Amino acid sequence: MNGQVQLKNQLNQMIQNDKFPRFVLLIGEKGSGKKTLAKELASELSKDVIIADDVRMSTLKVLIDQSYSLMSEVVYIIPDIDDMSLSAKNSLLKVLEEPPNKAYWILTICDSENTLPTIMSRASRFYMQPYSLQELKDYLGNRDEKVLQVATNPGEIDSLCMLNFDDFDSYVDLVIDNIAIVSGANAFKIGDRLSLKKDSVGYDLGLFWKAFQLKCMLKKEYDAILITSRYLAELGIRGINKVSLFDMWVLDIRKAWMYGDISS
Amino acid sequence: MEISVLKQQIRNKEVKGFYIFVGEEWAVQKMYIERMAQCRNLPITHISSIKDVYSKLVNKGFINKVGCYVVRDDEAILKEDRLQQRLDSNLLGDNILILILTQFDRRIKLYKLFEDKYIHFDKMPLETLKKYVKQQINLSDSSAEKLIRICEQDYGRILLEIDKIHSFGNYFTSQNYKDNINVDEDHIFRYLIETGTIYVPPTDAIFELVDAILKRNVKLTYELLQDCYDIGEANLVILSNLYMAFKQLLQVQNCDNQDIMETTGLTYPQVMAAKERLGHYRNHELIGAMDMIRKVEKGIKTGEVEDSLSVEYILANIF
Repeated sequence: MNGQVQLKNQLNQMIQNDKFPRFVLLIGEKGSGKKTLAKELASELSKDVIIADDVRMSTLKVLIDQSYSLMSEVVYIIPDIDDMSLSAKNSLLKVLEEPPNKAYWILTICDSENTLPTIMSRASRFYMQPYSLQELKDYLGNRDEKVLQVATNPGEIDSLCMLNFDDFDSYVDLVIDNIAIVSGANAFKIGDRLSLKKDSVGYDLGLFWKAFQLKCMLKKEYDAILITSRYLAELGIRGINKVSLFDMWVLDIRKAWMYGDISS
Repeated sequence: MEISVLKQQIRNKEVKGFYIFVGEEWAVQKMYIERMAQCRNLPITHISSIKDVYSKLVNKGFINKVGCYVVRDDEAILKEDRLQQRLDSNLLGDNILILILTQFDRRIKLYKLFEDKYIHFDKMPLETLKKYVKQQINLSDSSAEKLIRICEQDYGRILLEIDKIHSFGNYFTSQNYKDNINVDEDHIFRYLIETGTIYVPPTDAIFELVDAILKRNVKLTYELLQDCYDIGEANLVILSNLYMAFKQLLQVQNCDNQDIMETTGLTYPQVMAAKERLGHYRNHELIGAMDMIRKVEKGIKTGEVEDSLSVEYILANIF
């Protein structure tokens, strides 16, 4: 795994000293390598691994019950608990309060706001570190270097490499050039090329906004960066309606660029 | 088993002894039961429980009455574990046993044992129903479609409503309707809807609610909101529809171009619906409403806003 050198060293040291916590929470943005790191840790621990790909209550209940009757040690990896329901999160409290002595739990989360304060306070929390440019280049390998203009972690590199970056880049430029010019009736159509609904095909909204911010930085459009940051923060909320989020972003950007008003 | 197979059996007079009918289309099931009984010249007996059927079959008296036994939604059937054994022992003889289950559940033991005996009576498609309706009553196409929609494609209910129309038709004719209006079936149908004699379920309650809100019809809004709650519509669904309606109205209201559909990307019905709602909100009010709905929706998902109060909160701020 590229990067996360300091964090990996810290965790490996804990494993060697036999002081690895039973309940670990890895916190980092989408694509920062949380699941990869979790798998590496499980491999370092040399235990059997169970990765729960769905975070439903029914699955979690089975795993929790199982963990109390294990004969040999197991590492449970539960990725993306941002999407977990409240009842499922509450069921994790049992594991926190009375940890089974043959199980390690490694959970990953993008936004710490998406979990219970009790879980946050009792789990051992580790934050993913930012990647250096060299680390990103090493991960990128022979692929198109242009993606590094936008990508800040390996997951984003993978996502951007999967699409036609030039098209994506042109699209962001088109939005910046026209969002304040087109009529109000036309403005919402900007979102047609984004994936705003569950099954729709298009560019990822988070990536689009990041690219938008980077280009606005070059053009010194700081109001737009500030407005977009507000909306990016909401993107991590479980079940958030991306259509209405995007619509409001369009209206706020237009308000800022047409009238100089950046209030929300 | 498909219905077509059963039809074939009836046509060839090869009706078997045991069937399981599934679905709510009771009127259609009844038709088939009558034809099956007719096929073997058997009287139809409706019995409440499978246990009573067994006792009739087991206790043979002087007069051994053979019949077509129909048992509907008996919970004992679901727990029955000797039905297979009883059928194998030829308990039925020349009788026909038809079990009717309104709800279909493929997990139950009965389905696993008798899957090939299951016949699904799903709601008939619109065109088929329209054909049957027009055979029974002289309604125009649009009235027939409306009747089918009101009755939620339930053939049994359609027959009941047709009966009402016929009865009222006879009444109007016999009373020499005072205004001497030509009382055809379409007229009677409309009259029965207006007077509430034919009940119209609030299936389009959300659409009408959104329409009332966008036309600032406060009284109607709260009546329709109650209708929505009565039929169990979720607040998030109401908010989602309301948001889209406000957004479409904003787009149409701000479209200078003649070709609204091309400019906004909206469909023709969406544009027409928005045009009918023009003039009640200014742009900043529409944007404010959209923003408020978005924040309330987010609040519901993060637990900061009580779901049950969300729509009323929006309405209080809009109006």
